[in-house]
Parts: sequence; C-alpha cells; structure tokens
Amino acid sequence: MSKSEIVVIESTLSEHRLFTLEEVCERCGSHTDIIIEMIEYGIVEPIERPSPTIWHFNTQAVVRLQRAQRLMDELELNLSGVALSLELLDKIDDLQNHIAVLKSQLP
Amino acid sequence: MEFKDYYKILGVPEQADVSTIKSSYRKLARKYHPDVSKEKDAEQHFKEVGEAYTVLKDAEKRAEYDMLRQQGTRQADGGFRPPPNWQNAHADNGGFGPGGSGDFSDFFDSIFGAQGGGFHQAGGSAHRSQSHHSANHRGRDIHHKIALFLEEAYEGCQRQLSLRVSEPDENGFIRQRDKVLNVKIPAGVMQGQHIRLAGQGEAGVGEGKAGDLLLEIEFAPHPYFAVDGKNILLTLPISCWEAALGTSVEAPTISGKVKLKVPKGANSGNKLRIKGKGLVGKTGEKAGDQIVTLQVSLPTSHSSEAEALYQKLSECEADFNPRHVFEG
Repeated sequence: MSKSEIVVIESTLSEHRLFTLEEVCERCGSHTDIIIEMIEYGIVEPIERPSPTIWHFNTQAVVRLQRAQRLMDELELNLSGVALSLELLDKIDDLQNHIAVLKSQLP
Repeated sequence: MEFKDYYKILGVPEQADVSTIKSSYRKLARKYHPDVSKEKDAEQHFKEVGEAYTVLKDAEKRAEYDMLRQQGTRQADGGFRPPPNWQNAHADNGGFGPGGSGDFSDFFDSIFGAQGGGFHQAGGSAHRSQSHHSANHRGRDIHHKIALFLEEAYEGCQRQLSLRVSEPDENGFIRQRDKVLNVKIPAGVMQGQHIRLAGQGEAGVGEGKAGDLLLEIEFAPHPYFAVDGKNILLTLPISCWEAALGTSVEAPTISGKVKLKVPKGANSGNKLRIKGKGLVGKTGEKAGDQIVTLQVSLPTSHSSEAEALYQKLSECEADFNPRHVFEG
C-alpha cells in the first residue's frame, strides 16, 4: 500500500452535469437495451433535451441506474423486481424521514 | 492471517449440501446487499458472504478449503497459518485487471491465489458487460455517503475523506491504496443529493478514464431543527402566559436568530412560518421556509402565590372545557 496523499478538490453539484445514454451505459456497465428497459419500467426518467428523441440523465439518475444494475447482478433480480425494490426502498426512506420529523415535534 | 470460517459465515453445517448453501447465500445476500441494507457493516458482510459462497458452491474449491481447514494450524492469537508449501501451487495467478481479487480477503488469496472469482467478476457493478481483458476501459465509480450537520450543508464546508481504492500498479496487479481527499462541499446541498468528484474514482485501465467519486449527502440529526424537504422545522416552547397574552421571542434559524411575534391567544400546535429561512435547494428555485410549531410549556412546580392565581383563573374561565370533544 502506498503512502497517502492529500489533495483539495472542488466538488460539483450533480445537476450541473448531464450524461448521454452512451455515457450512462459505460458508467453502469450495462447494455443500451437494458437501460432502455429500465426507463420503460420507470426506474428513472430521462431528461428529454434538447429534443424528445435525445435523452440526457442527471447524476441522480445515473446513480439509480447503477444501483438497479447491481441489484440485478448481485441478487439476480429481474427488472420488475428491481423496479419494485427501488420503489419500496424509496418508500422506506420517506417513512423513516417522516418518523424523524414527527419525533422532532414531540415534547 | 485471520482464518475465515466459510460455513459459519453462511450459517450452514459442514455437511450442508449445495442447495442449502445456495439458499442461505441468497438470503444473506439480500440481507446485506449494500443497496438494500442500512447496517453499517453491510458491505463488509456482503463481501464475506459472497466470498464464502464462491468457495463452498464449487466442489473443487470446497474440497481444497475443507482440507486446509483440517490441516492448517491455528495460532495462539486466533490467527491461521496454512500448511507449508500451500501457497506455491496457486501463487502464479496474478490479479489482473479491475474487479480482480481486490474484493476478496487475504485468506482467500492465500488459498486460491489472487485469481479472483466468478462471483465478483459477475457482480462487479461497473464491468458487467465489458470484456475482462479489453485494453481500455473506464474505472469504476466509487460511492460514499457523507454526513453533514445542517449548518455545514447550508453554508458549505470542507471535509476530509479517507478512502481505500483499488488500482492496478505498473505491472497490472491490483493494489489497494489509502487516499485522503479534502473535499470542498458547495453551500446549499440537500439530503439525498449527490455531489460528483470527477476522476476521483477507481483508475481506468489502459487509456480508459478514471471513474468518479459520488458522495451522497446525509444530514446528521440536529439538536433542535428537523428537515422536511426544503423546509426547516422547529418546535418552540412558550409559557402559558406568553401564549395567552402574546409576546415577541427570539427564535433560532439556520441563518441566525430572528425576532418572532407570537400572537395573543396562541396555542400548542399553532404553526408560524418564517419565509425564506429554509434550505435554498436548487439554483433558481425559491428557498424553503422555517416552520415553527408552538408548544405551551409549564413550570414543573408552582409557588403558593402562583397556585392562588391559577385558582382564580379557573374561576374566571369556568366555562372553558378542554375535553368538550368527548361529550356528545
């Protein structure tokens, strides 16, 4: 293991960068067909800019697609299983957030 | 080296058949999958379970492991030493390429060589469809969560992160390296938002670019603020006479204290909105508000003088029935 190094980096907010379908495929290690299917299952929504035939994706979407691909590979889920899992996981996050908000309101 | 009891990790007896092993693996994989589990050590568990399964599902590897399990010597400190010459038969497999043996333990590497295994090759998220030996491809993105105090998220801050990255060295072997990054986080980040550090992920192979480091923002619990979307919530205690008579109090907000007017006749649960004192959110969008919920608070004990005043109050307000909802 080599010595550690220290670098200061300016981070960028995710919205500032959009990815093309090709870039998304590369980042997810997925075939274009799979990504298109994931979109059809409503796992993410592409940004239809500059026209409805050209898709772009923000970082949030890329992260979600990567997560979907991992769930497919590592838990052997099919696409509707992945879509359902992600929806339920989102719901759990929302509920936990809601509990935290309610708890903070208790005397 | 630490001995890994793969049977124990999968929670199966030594004589378990392949289908038992498989079903136990599947159950544990679901439980510890880092995209599913909220447990802190989920990723570590998930890797361990995957490593155990890689060995036990494969008759050849399992036989080899079983033999080693019997022959190897346990050291006094709980460590483990394989029998002499064990490594020589396998050490010629270099961990070449990304997603190689970097994910497996030293214990695994010492038995099976640094050859990696089918499991993590298939599972390695970023490389599924890419040929393992292709000359150029992009490095994997690294995902991390970062907990910020609300104030840090609001004002922006600088944070030091240490991460362990796997990178191929000049000979193509995967090496782990500790990397320390000082990251400047912009003001106004939100819960669940991702910030991207381009090129700070795993190194690419050949001419492939490095992956990115993606940080997911989490808010650490705040002693008195809560966050609901862009709004910041605060419960503000007031005394019953402040509620009855109205008052002006100082209330904390994320950007400093403000004077807040509590109207005459206020009650527990009444909400006051302080416009624009919430989180900013995306550029160009309207900032959230701070929502203050009043809570009437009473002293735990009263002087006899105060009790006399309450007695008088109960006579003046004899018509008030706080439990009128229970009466038909």
